[in-house]
Amino acid sequence: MKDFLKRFFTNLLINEDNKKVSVEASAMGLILTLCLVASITDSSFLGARNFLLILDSVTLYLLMALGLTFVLLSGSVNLSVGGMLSLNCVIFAMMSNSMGLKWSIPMVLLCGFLEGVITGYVFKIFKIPSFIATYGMMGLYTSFGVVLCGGTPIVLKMDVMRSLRILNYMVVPGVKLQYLFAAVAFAVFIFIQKRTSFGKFVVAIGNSPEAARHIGVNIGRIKILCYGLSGFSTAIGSIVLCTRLYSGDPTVGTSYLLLIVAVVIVGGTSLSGGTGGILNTLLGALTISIIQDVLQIMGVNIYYHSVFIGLVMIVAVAISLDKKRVLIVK
Amino acid sequence: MNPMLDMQKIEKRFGPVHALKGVDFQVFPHEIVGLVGENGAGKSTLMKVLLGIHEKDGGTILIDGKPIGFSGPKDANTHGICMVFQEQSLLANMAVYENMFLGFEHLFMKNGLISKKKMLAAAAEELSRIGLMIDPDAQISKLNFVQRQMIEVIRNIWKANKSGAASVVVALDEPTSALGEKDSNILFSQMEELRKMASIVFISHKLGEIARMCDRTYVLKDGENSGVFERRNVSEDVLRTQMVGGVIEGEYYLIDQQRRPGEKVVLEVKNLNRQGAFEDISFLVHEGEVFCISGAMGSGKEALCDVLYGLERYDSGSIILDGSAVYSKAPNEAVKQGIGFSPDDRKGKALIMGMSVADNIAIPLMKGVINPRKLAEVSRGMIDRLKIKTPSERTLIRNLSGGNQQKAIMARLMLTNAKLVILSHPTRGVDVGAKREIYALIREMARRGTAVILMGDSFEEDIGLSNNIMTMKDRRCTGILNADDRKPTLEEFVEYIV
Repeated sequence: MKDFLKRFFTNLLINEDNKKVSVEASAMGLILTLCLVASITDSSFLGARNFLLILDSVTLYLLMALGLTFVLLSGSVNLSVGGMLSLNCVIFAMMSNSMGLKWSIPMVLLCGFLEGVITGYVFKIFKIPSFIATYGMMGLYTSFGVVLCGGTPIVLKMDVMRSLRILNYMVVPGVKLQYLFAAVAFAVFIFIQKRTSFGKFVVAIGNSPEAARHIGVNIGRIKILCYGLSGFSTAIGSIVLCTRLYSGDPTVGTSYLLLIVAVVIVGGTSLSGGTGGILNTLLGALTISIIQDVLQIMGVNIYYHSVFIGLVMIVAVAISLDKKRVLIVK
Repeated sequence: MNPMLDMQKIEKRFGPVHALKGVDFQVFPHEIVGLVGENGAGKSTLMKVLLGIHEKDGGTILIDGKPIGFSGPKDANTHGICMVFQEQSLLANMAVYENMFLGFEHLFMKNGLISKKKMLAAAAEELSRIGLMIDPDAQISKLNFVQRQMIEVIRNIWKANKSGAASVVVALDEPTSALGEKDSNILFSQMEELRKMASIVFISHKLGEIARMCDRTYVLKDGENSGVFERRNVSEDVLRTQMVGGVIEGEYYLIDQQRRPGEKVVLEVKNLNRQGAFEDISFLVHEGEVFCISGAMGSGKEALCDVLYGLERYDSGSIILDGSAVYSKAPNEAVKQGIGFSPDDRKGKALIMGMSVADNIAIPLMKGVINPRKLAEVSRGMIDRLKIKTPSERTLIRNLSGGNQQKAIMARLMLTNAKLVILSHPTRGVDVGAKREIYALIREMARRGTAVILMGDSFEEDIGLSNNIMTMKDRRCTGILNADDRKPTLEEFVEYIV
């Protein structure tokens, strides 16, 4: 019996291709275990209120991380997402207060995209490892956000807030309008990944940059576009985040950096590039949201939450990194 | 006298490719042994089997009469077998003595600390044994190529002696290919010194040097011994004839399908130069022509093709494609101008191993939104037409054999309708059947008016498939031979190459 169980679980977890545990299976296993434990220890876990809380957080994480998925899929990283998120929150709050949502929403999306593109150019022009290029840009964007708002969060005006609350409108019981937006964004990103040349090229570059180059893929342009999309997606995230915080906070990005990166990685998109994708990011958003929720329910001090997120991320990378291709890990 | 190294009936297969077919190879003490053969004849495979990089499929290796097998270069080294490659393995930012004893610092301890003085003294002694005038404290990057090579040799001999190997064999892989005559001569006098301490295996394409330096020379051809020559019986001509051997079979290379090229010039290269790679290259390629660039490794042909495809820059001269001058700074620009490329490193440079056969075939056609049905249709069409053996178009390309992978690359090139296609060793590592199919595809490309530049995997292939052949030697063009009316014989041809 014990033997049977062992075999059952290994078959479930082990990926046929490379004979090791797949991140996807581990993430799902983790979700199931957490749900099981939480629903036994605390009845409120299964309540409608908690369900909404989890969906809220999945929405936010998913929107922020969709674009970053492409960057990782292409074999690079973007640590400037935190800085871009802060900056975009400030830009959105300031513009909404002065010009109204009609202008601020398209503007913040455009700004987000451009921030990403600039990061991409920095990476391309200086030909430096992406983690350094983007970590440097993280500093730039964070500072710029603080300078822009003078150091204090910009509180959204009442009428702006009132309009934004439409995001919380229940289309049907249990489905907020923002969930639908997230679903649409998710569908669009899936389409980009699976059904456009851009998506194919991203996977090709992540799989084998040398081969992609020899085939004639313009690697620089594709990577810049990846960064642009990751900026764009933090801009969408910043709109939702501002709605939740009633303000544009210039420091918010730092705490979200770990979460956004963790969402993509825990979902199973490999740091070595080429494997994973948007669907994995949804799984990652679910995993991270449920971990946080369960920690909350079990009364773990919020100061310890990052410990768990960090550990889960490290384990996910250890599983997903293709060590055959990344010979020397720097 | 018994040989110190005796390789008997060595067999090696890579999938369908029979790389070594019972090769014999012996080295006697204090001997310089030559090893020559075309690219792909099996020289490097033989050496890799010896070093334990490849496992042999048959045969025996004896050292001092005792059978032995190595798990890898490190193991081989402790038994006195070592190889110095063209790409040197010294650390350029460290000193000579540090490089020599890297990993063995513990042998130079004094009071629990590493003594630089001891190491310098030991290094100076080792260097003086073959009369090398090098400061052991000098940084490696300050030394020239021959000096670095010698240091690597000495390091290997020292390590072998330290681990108790009685006799040492050092294999030098094309040590002179990057050297001028003066430096080569310096190297040869060093080799004469070296042989007092070790036997040397000298692998080279420069047959004159081999004839001059080696006591005995092994010639390999298609994975078999083609001859062993004592110094007194050997000359450049003897080796050359032995190396290329056979006759060109018309049927094998589908010569009846060969057509005369069209009138229209597709590619004109004029006085093209790239420093250190090739000099003053000029040639024309016409519509429907198979134009071979032939030469030994390091002759400059690879660099030339890289430049044509925008992988490398050139210093001067011009490339005129379809009547207008082009300068591609990257492959994506070359592709836009109508050039296709099939690189020699199929797995590393041509294919996205983690993607499907369909994606790999149709990737150059992808633009904007992809219609998956059309993608499947187009790729299935090519799979059927080129008879690519794959369970489905959705199969990952890494699961296909080398020949079918190459056919997928040919399918990709045919889909793009490139005006000019550059094929670098398209039949490398492919079995005989697939080779023929690839030849047929090259013929088909030419029939459709594509200009084809081919770097074949053997001289026979170059001669058999081409309308015109440009021969290269030491970075220069040595001639352009017409193969339309009459195929040049191998002997005529090889004259220009080695």
